[in-house]
Amino acid sequence: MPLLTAKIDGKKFMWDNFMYSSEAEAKEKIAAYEKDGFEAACLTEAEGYLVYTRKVITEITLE
Amino acid sequence: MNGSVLVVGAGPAGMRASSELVDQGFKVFLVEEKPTIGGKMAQIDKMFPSNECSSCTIMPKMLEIANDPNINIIAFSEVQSITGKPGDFKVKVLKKPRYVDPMRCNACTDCFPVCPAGGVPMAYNLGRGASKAISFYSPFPPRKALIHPEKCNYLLSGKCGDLEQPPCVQACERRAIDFSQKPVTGELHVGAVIIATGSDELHTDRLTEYGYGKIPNVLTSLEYERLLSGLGPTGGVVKRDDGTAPQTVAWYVMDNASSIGFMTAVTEAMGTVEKNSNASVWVLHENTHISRETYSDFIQKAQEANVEFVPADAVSTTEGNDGNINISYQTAGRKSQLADVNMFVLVPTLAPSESAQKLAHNIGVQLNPWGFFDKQSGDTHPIHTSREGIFVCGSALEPKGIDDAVTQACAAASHAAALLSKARGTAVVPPPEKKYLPITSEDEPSIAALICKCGPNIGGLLDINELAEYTASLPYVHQVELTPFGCDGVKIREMLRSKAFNRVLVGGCSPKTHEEVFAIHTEGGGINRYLMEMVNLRNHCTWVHSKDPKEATEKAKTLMRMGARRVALQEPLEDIHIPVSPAALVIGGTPSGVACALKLAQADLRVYLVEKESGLNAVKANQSKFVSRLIDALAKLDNARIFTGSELGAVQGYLGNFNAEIITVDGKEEIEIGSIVIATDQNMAAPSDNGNYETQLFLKRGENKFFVGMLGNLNPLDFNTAGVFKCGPARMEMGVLDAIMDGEGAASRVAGIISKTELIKSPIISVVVDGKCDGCAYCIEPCPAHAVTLIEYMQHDGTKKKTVEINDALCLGCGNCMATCPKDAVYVQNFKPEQIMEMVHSVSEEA
Repeated sequence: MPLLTAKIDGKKFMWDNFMYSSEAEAKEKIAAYEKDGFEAACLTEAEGYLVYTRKVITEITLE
Repeated sequence: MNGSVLVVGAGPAGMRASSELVDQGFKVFLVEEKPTIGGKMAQIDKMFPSNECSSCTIMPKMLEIANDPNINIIAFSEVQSITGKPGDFKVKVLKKPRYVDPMRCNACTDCFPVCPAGGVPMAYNLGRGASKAISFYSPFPPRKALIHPEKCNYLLSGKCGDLEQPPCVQACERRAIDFSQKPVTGELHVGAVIIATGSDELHTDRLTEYGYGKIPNVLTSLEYERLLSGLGPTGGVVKRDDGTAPQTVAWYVMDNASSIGFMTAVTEAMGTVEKNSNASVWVLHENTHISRETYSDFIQKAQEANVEFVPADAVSTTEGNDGNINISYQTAGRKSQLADVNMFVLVPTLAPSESAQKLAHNIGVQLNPWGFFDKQSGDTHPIHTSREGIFVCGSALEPKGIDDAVTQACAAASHAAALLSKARGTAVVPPPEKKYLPITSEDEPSIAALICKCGPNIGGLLDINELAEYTASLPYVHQVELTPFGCDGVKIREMLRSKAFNRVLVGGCSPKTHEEVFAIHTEGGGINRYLMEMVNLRNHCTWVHSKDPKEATEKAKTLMRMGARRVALQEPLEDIHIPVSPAALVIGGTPSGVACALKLAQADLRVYLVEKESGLNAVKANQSKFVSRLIDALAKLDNARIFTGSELGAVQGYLGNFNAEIITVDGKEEIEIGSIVIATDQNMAAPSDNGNYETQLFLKRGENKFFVGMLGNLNPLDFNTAGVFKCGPARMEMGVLDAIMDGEGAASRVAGIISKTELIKSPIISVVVDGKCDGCAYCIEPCPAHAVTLIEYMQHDGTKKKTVEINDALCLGCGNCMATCPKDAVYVQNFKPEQIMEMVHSVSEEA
């Protein structure tokens, strides 16, 4: 089980819970996430490619 | 050029200058004429205007200084001469004999009870209380015994007792008594000198006119402080000469030239009412002018606490009945009389310390007509002396409050640092390399327990042997030792030498003051400092249950049991290293801002100054010639970059790592800085649409528009946002020279950060359990350090989730987030729920 969290450039990123079989597939997903305003990064594991994302929320609503 | 600095005087100003210099990479020789450090701040009970406990505030600083390998405390010594030139001074220091070898004395006190010469008035308590001829001078560092030669039988007659050796020599296992000691002169090499010799009460015939020395229960302000102090001769209970508690006390402020005497009287009157709400207190004064707003607020609080202020002149006293004092005075020409008072406290004028005149003569520095340190004719800088390379700060310049003394000490440190910038780091020793035993969280705990008697503080009340026996019976505790004063580290290191332990449990005084000391000793024994737990037997047992030794001992057992359970679950942790951007940003071309930027640039540090006016000439137009000279000097330095006609845009980041946007006429420029100084004036408009740095840096202004910072007299220049400082007109109204010193003081605070390549921080911070956190965000608002950020993240199936991110550099480890989290999704390292619950469960177990 890959790590849920990754520290990239000092920032906390979270795994999107999927193992991509190719770099191209991972990059395609990253582009989609970035289009949605997320920072995204790819980490390589022996079993495949992992995509991590984050977006800082400044408008906080307590439920 | 020598990278060491001599600081003369170890009161709040001298200690602060020392710690500022060490923080900037300079070695310090701290010479103190008294046998212990702390100065007047350690002698008084509370400080104005914060009403903080003075000794509680200064004690951690004293221990920090006493344990810093780059501060060499030379106590009970005097400076005899200084020769040479700035950057290369030679200093002769006379060390007075204490007849006890401080390297051998471990403060065990075994020599005290066997000394037959008692009744020695305690100088630290201004003659109140009595000690033996061998004693401690004060409760403060360096905690080493001292023999009073004028009272010691052996030194007076060559014999003490019937045996060949005096009783103290026989009692001292460490062979520390040394009657052969003579005054010794040594030589130091330093690059700069800072004088911080403070001030003393001026005892003249005027005191006698008001009955001092003639009428019982007439005393001076400092004598009264010793009665108020919990560490004084009466344990903080104010008593008259006959042992009764006064119900009516009056103060007479004899010095109206400054507000210091008046504020001292107000603080003492407040302290009296706090201890005895039935007491009636009056402060007699002659139209004292109070200019500072924080002082006025404090006076108002005193009035609300029923402290009465009486404008009075022509004050006279006569001895009344039953040890009382009759006080007469005039108000606007009308004669009035106070009812008999039980005590009368005189607040004398403050004068330069006794040693200042001798020191000035010895080192060839001028004094002004009032005896305070003076500068060369034509030199207007407040902290200069008449000799280049020798600076002065604190009450050695003129009487002042502790907050102002601290600011000046920082300013003096920045001057010394600028002078010696080329020698930064050349004289200091690096921190000792940490060599730990290979201990992991999985190893079975093996606890070494140390019970400190803290002299009579703990050992005098608890059944210490019963406690030791009980502690030895606790799970995983494999050895228990008793020690008279564990803070010397001797016993703890002796225990750890066996390498048989992987945890340390200390039963002793307060972790607030001594945890760092015991952590250093634990590391010295090869064990990670976070595998040490401290139980506060003194404050929590003996002090609060002083009338019930049996119950206090039972409570001590419970606390030791809780401590043993907790330490068994503690984990080794590593310090956090934070890289630093080696530059500073100063906002505002005020005299403070210019002075701050200039001192940083002169100290070979990179600085950016942002000013909204269109050019330096525009800035100079409104300033004095002195400030104009500073501006010209700054403009010539390559490592200072001045943005005029500019303002600050967005700012983000944290201590050591800020990013700021400068909006210039040519566009935006981004800079990276490690620290920020706010030197604007209070009327400066709120930041524009380009960005609001006040909001982004979590800065606050008071109702009067001045910025509000960290509480406490020792932090006048600090904001609660780490790495951001304020000075001059940003924090209060002040004259130009004070504003310049303020800016230079802020430069020292900044240089302590950006002169380093990295900052070391405690790993006791919050950690998020990501599997549990659902990003409810309840933890964000309660965080006082603004260290928690809400982040959203994607799932492959297109759903979005949330969690929080903790900024390690900002987190204070306070646990607010842990307390508010409904999911147990965040904890503070070494304060995990299971660790806390283990302690809680152990409370209910029978001892």
